[in-house]
Parts: sequence; structure tokens; C-alpha cells
Amino acid sequence: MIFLQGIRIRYPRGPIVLDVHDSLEFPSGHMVSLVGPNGGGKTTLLRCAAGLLRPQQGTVMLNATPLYGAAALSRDERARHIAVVLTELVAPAYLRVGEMVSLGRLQKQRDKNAAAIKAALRHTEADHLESRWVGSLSDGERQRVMIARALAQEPRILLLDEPTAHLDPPHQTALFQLLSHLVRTRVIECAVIATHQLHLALHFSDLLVLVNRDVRGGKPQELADNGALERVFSTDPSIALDTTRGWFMPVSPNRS
Amino acid sequence: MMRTLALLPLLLAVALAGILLGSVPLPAGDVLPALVSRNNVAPMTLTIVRQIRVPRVLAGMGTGGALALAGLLMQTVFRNPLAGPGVLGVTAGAGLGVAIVILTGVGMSLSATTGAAAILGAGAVLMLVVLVHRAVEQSVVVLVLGLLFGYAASGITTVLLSGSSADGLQRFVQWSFGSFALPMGWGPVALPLLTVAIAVPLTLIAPRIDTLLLGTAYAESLGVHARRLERLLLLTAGVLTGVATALAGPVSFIGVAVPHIARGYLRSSRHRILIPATLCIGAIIAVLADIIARLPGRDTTLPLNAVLAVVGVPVVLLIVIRPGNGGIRT
Repeated sequence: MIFLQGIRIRYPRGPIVLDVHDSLEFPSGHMVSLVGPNGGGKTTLLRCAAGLLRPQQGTVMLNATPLYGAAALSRDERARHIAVVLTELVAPAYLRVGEMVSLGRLQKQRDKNAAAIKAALRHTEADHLESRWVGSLSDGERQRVMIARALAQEPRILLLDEPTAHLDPPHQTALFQLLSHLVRTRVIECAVIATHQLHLALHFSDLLVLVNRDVRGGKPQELADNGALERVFSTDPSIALDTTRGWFMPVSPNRS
Repeated sequence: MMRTLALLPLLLAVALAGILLGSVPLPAGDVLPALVSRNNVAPMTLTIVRQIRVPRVLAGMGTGGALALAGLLMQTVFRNPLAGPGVLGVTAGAGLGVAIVILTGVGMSLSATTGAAAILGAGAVLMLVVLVHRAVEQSVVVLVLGLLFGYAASGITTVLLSGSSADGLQRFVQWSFGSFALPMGWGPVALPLLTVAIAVPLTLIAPRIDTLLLGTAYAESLGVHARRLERLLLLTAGVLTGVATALAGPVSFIGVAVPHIARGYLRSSRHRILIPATLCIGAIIAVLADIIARLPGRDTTLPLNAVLAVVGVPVVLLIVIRPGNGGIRT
């Protein structure tokens, strides 16, 4: 469980990116999606919750331990609990997929490495890529390998920043299915996904968090039905959110 | 691992060749006894082998290994295949130190004084670089500022040299060619030892260094204190570069090219095997280039940097540009 309270983050000499007035919880057993407009602070919130970006104000707790400050969890311990998939492009010259995934084992017991790497590759349907060079993969294949790397870390909590970005539609759905399955079967406690795939977020999430400087969490269907999901993206009257399909379409004149 | 071990006999053979070949032709039957015993060896042979050739080979191995390792660390920290020992301006800082010594006439010959001046100059620039790394978010800013410090140091060096005597200018240019024959006391013994003493602990933390290949955010997420590790590696690379430059002048090519050769040879980016291999290949190439520069059996010699570049570039092309690999990356 990750718990954030009163978070405020601004970049040096920049505007405030995130200003969370209340508290926000990513509870155990939940699949959480972060949605919101570009520049709304999804990535910032995700990195802050992962222990990678210290907020100027507020506290972030992993279970009962703070992630920042004097009494913070150690780096090693944090890495044993939290894994991330980021949007950074990673392409070392001579690293095979198996080696890339094994980097996730830095803080774990060596004797279980082979099994953990195998399981991670199987989960992401990347077994056949194991001996390929990371540099020779397609964007989508590389994304699946990066997710396998995070799973090899055997985290309790997995945070993913736009993990569907380079995936083809079936693999996008498969990824949400996989994460949902991992949470249901308690392989991981909680998955947090920043995404623009509203249809998948609506279908798979237990908790939907609207992020646009402030945050608002709720049941996906409620936020869709009461119009909050639409409003966090757009106040433009000429387009509207189709809540059953999860996409924005032009409003036809006869409907309005 | 086997591929790294296979480099050791090659290193030994090249070192031996470096001791056997020189401008004064000496039969192998005279040279080899001079290595192990003083008895029954002509005094001149003994002097040439023990005072000239052995230190020169050691200086070559030390410089080659140190610069190659420094280049590897820079390329990893900056995730940039163009990075090398020179990019932090450390080499230019050493050059400035040497120019000051030559201009003020403190050191009348290229001696230990020049070496000390080079270390001071390199150290000053390195301190600046590390301070900048503390202050900025992105490593690439350090890269740019390091280059700029280098330009500034070179600029001041040029001003000093323009006011220097023809003799001083000559000596500086001589230094800038690079050479493993500069008289440097215990330097030829100390540098290889220092390089190995630095490489061993780095190999032990190699899995942590590997995470930097993914960028600092991923490294942090794996529990590595990425910024501190980057700073440690910058400092290490800077010290290696400074000391190597003090010993042999600004030796080019090795620092940028050898890490690529090592990756291509091992077909791996993992530092546990890359660090020892880079060290060995750096040493081998440096001594080989020096043998060629000596033009064995002749009176004249070639500038070391010229040999490195002219002979080295085709070698790198052959090794790095092979089909089916990830191309030139870090």
C-alpha cells in the first residue's frame, strides 16, 4: 500500500506541477490507473510515489514507513518493494534480453535468479526474445522486456508510466490483463498505471485517479458517469467522452 | 571470462616485443638474460633494457590501461559513445599546468616537475567538474561544461605559449605528441599499479555500474545511489586521466576507441568482464603503437599520437562495424 498526503511538487524555478490537497491511497489488492491531460502531473505523481522524486511538501508512505526524509526506507529496501517501468528509452549496445531482465535482480537472492527471470519473461510473453540483443528489438518488444525486468525485481508494488505506449492493441489489452491477473493472484500487491488508454483503464481498474495538478480518486464507472473523467481532460463543448467506449468524439449538432 | 583471459598471453607477448625491439638492435639472446640477471650481460645492454625499455613498456601499459578504463567510465556515466577521458577538460587542464611550468622555466626539462604540474592542472579542472555535477540535475550538462572548461584551459594555454620562447614552444609541442619515454622516476611502475588498484574494486561493484546503462532513474529504482555512483566514477576517471597525462602527455584515441573495441570483442556491455578486458586491450594497443612509433632499428621516431590515430582507426572500423550487432553505443 502506498499512501500520499499533502504532496506539492514544483520543478526548480518552474511552475507547480502537482498540488494534492487531500490524501491518496494505492491500496493493496487494487489495480490503479492514473489518467489526465498531458502535463497534468501523472508522471510526476508516479515517480513521487515510487520514491524517485522527493516532494517539496507532504509525505509518501509505503505501508507504515516514509519513503522520504530522515526516517525513510533505505534504497535497497525500497527497491525490494517497488519496481517501475518508465518512459525513458533504454538501448545499451551489447545487452541481451536475458541480461536486461537480470538487472532487476540486483537486490535479490542470487540462487533464485534463473527462476525469477524465466517467470518474468513468461509472464510478458517474451521468452522467445531471451537471447536477442535489446538494441535489435522493436519498440513494443522492448517495452515488454522492460516490464519483465520490473517483474524480475519481484516487487510488491509495480508502477508503470504509459506502458502501453508502443504496444499494438492486442498487446495493450494483454498487458492490462496481465497486471490485473498479477494483482488478483497476489503475485504483486498493487499495480499503478499512468495511461491514456481510457477504455482499458475503465474496464480493468479498481481505482481510477484523475490527475491534473490536483488528484481525485474514485470508482471508474462513477467518475465516468458523473462527468468528472470528461472534465479533467476537456471543457471543449464540441467534443464529448463516450463513457462506454472510452474515447472522445465530436458532438454532432443534432445531439446537442 | 575466457575471452578476457585470452588477452593476457597477448599482453605478455606485446610487452616482450616492446622490450626486444628498439632503435638500438639488440639480439634477444642478450636482452632476455638482462631481464633476470646482472651477470654476464654487457653494461650497455643492461642499461638499455632496464633503464629505457622496461620503464617504457610499463608506462605504455599503465597509460593505455588507465586511459581506456577512464574512457569506459565516461561513456557509461554519460551514456554517450563519443565520451572519452578528454571530455571533462582534464587533459586540457593538465596541458595548462605543463604550459605554466614551461613558460616560467621552473622545470627546465620535461621532468617530474611537469608531471606534478600536469596533475595539479588536471586536478583543478576535475574539482570544478565534480562541483558542477553536484549542482546540476542532468549529467549531459556536466559533459558540456567539462568541454567548455577544456576549451578555456586550452585557450589560456595558447595565450601562455604565444608569449613563450621558441624553445619553450618546441618543448610543449613535443609533450603534446604523447610519449612513453618521458623520464618520470617511479611513474612507470606506479601507474599500472594504481590502475589495477582502481579496477579491482570497480569490478566488484560492476552490477551496480551496469544499472547506469539504463539511466539514473532506473538505477535509483533498483536501489543504487545513482548520482553518488556517477560522481565516484567521474572522479576515478579524472584521476586516471590526470595521472596518465602527467606521465605520457595527452595521449589520444585510446580512451574513446578501446571501450568500443572491448565491447565488440566481448559482445557484452557488462562491466564485470568489460573492465578487465578494457584494461588489457588498452595496454596492448598502447605498447603496440609505441613499438611502431619507435621504428625499430632506425634513429628517428614517430609521434605516438600520430601512430595511434593512423594505425588505430582502421582497426576500430574492422571491429566495431560488424553486421548484426547493436552498433556503436554504450
